[in-house]
Amino acid sequence: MPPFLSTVLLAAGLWLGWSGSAHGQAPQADPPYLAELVISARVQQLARTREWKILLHYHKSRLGSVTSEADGTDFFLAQNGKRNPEAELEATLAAFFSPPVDDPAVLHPQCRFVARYAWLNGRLGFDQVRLPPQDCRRFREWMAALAPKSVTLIFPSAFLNNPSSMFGHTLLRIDHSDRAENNRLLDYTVNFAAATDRPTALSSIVLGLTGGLPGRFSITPYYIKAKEYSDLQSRDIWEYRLAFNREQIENMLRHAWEMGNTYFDYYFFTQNCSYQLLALLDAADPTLHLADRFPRWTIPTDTVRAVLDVPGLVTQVSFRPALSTQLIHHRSRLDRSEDAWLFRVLQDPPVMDSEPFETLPDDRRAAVIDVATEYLAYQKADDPDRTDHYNAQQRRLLVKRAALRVVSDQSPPPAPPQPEQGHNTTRIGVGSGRAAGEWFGQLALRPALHDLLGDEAGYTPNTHLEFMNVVLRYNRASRVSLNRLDVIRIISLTPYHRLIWKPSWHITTGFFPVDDLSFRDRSAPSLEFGVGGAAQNAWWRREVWYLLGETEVQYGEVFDEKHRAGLGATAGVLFDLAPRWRAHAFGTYRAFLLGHRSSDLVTAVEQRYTLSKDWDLRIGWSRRPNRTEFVAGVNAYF
Amino acid sequence: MQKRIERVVIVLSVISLIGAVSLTSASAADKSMSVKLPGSGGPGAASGPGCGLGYMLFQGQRGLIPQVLAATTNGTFGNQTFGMTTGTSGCSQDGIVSREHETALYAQATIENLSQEMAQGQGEHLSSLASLMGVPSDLQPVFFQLTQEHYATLFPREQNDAIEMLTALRSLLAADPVLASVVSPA
Repeated sequence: MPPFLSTVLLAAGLWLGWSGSAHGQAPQADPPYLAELVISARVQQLARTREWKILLHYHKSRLGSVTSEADGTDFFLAQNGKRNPEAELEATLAAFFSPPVDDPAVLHPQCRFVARYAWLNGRLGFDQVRLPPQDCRRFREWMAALAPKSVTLIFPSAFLNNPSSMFGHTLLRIDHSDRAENNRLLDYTVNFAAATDRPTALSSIVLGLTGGLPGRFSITPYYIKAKEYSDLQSRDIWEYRLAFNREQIENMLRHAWEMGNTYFDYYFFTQNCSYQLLALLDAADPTLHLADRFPRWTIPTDTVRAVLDVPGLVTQVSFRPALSTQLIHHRSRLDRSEDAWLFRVLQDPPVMDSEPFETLPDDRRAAVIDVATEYLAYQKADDPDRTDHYNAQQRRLLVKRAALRVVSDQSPPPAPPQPEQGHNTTRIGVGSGRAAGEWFGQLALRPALHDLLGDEAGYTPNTHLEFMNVVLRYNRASRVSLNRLDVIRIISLTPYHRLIWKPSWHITTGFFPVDDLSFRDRSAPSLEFGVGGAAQNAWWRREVWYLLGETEVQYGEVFDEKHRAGLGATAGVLFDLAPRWRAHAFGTYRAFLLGHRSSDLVTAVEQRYTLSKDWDLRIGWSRRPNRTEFVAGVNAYF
Repeated sequence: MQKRIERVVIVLSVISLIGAVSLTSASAADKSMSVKLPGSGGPGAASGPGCGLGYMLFQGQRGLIPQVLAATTNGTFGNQTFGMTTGTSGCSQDGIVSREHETALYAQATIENLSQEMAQGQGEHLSSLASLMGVPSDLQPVFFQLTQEHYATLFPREQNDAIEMLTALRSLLAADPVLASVVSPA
């Protein structure tokens, strides 16, 4: 070795000692080689590369400092690794020199951090004599079991009566090389979710919103996940196959293995399942920059859009209908008399042995029994307290069905428009109108997501979910005023179906305009809640009728006794006039009986015309005994 | 007239309030489906042969408030069994289900679907079961016919029992002239 080089190495060794970079484990074999590697890493500035940032999940905070989003202390080998990429890289290199591990339950650092090892080896070219590679048997067996051929992005979409899942969810399925396409249920999925024993407790909900729960990665067989979403939650599933090559998939899975050991604080709105999944896709291909597109909130549908925006990344899209979707579709294929038989069979299974039923052709009898058993399966999932009752009925039907020796001809339900084909999530609207004899201008901003009158393509029909919808008005008298602020507004209408029916309901909280009293441009904090029912028919194209009984509470200086609370109802109809044109007519009555006694009756008609996927026109009239209002405007979605 | 409207509305609203309260109290009962693993006891049981994992629960949502609020966690399930890099855990290693438990676990989780598809003579879950049991794809129609023909033997009772079904199925396969030779013992 030239004298100059050994001097440099000696100096470097001393410098390393002084610079105080903490090592997780004392280097055993070959400190000079470690020093060489560290120098080489510093020269190449590896700690500043995008790949290192992706592996360690480093992000620049607003103050300019770099912090890793990983929160488990085991993820970092350096004391200050969470904030110091250089220290972490050097500590990682040092850890690779650790002595071999005997206990199979414990992973050697080379095997715990396989992605870091593979990448550093690629950039530095480890000398296998001076830094012996460990046999990472557990990881090899894990990869062999997964045997990936491709990766598919799974998107369980919204459920008709579960607006909390209107944001959807994303997970990845690892498609096994030696498995037929119709056996994908046996594949494993990579899923990120908050870990809690009590997912529906209020404490968990609050913690999940604020980063108080740990989020972890797990691999769960797809048959369990599909069942959870499709059968129990009635969510249709979309599957987007991704075009990663073998090397990219291996990079991604190496990194997934590393993350399996740690946790990330889970934030429902920002660092949620979809965000972490994008980080995983970035590990497969660092040029994608997918996670960077979501610096603020992350809505799962938007992450699907981001993936589809990458040319050629999605090669195939499949639709996996929910149990309820299949049930409704299969029932619709029965003719009138078969439908009547369906309910007779459910009511009283022995009629299957009756002569009139036996006159039906075998395949039609099979079709009727298939819908009946599918209905019972749905009921069992929906109403588990009565499982025994449904089991008794179902076995009887299934034994008879099997005896028919007919193979079902199950036509799949038609796939609705894909979720990414819906309008974008944020909306801004500009308009103008006239109220109480005065003209006004209006500006509205809504971060998320979708309203009843909006174009439904890609969204669950008859649902409304809004966060922080702000409507500002300007007129000569009051200048700028807050017309309304919907902090949360959720409406879920479930039209009556003889097999699947749930109540319709809505909840709104925020600032509502106080239009019925003779004030100008005032709004007051309010809370509103309603329950009722809905029905749908196809007289013109599609009409949805609804009736909700409601309660409302308002607070504010404008009221006598500073508040008012009351009861009422809203009846309305959503009317599709043409493919791009929908109208909504409704009437609301309120009797405020507590506080400032008053009553209010308003009737309104509003309409929406879709100009394109992300533009629409709105026009509306509302009428009260003492005030008429008219508004027209245009909305843009981005 | 005004007073009459008020009265009707009050009655409607009281009904809606009662409805809302009952829906939210129904929310206390979470939907769940139990999957009992072979050789295990009740929830939390750790001993015995087989997985020794006890019950795994599918958490569904029921009632108004959980539906609105439950998605903050988006459902974790079986974190112990399916946590990656967590080492050996009953019937899995680093999240991968061990071969000897694979078929039983699958059948347990999907017994509902299997019971329907066997009666119907076809289905995706049934095809996956066939594949797990080593039936080659060209012989799957024979497998489907077999399960449909012997349905009552595979499901003799009202309460579906996946282990019982698998035992009966393996006997049937062993006795079938075509399938006996190709099916793997697992």
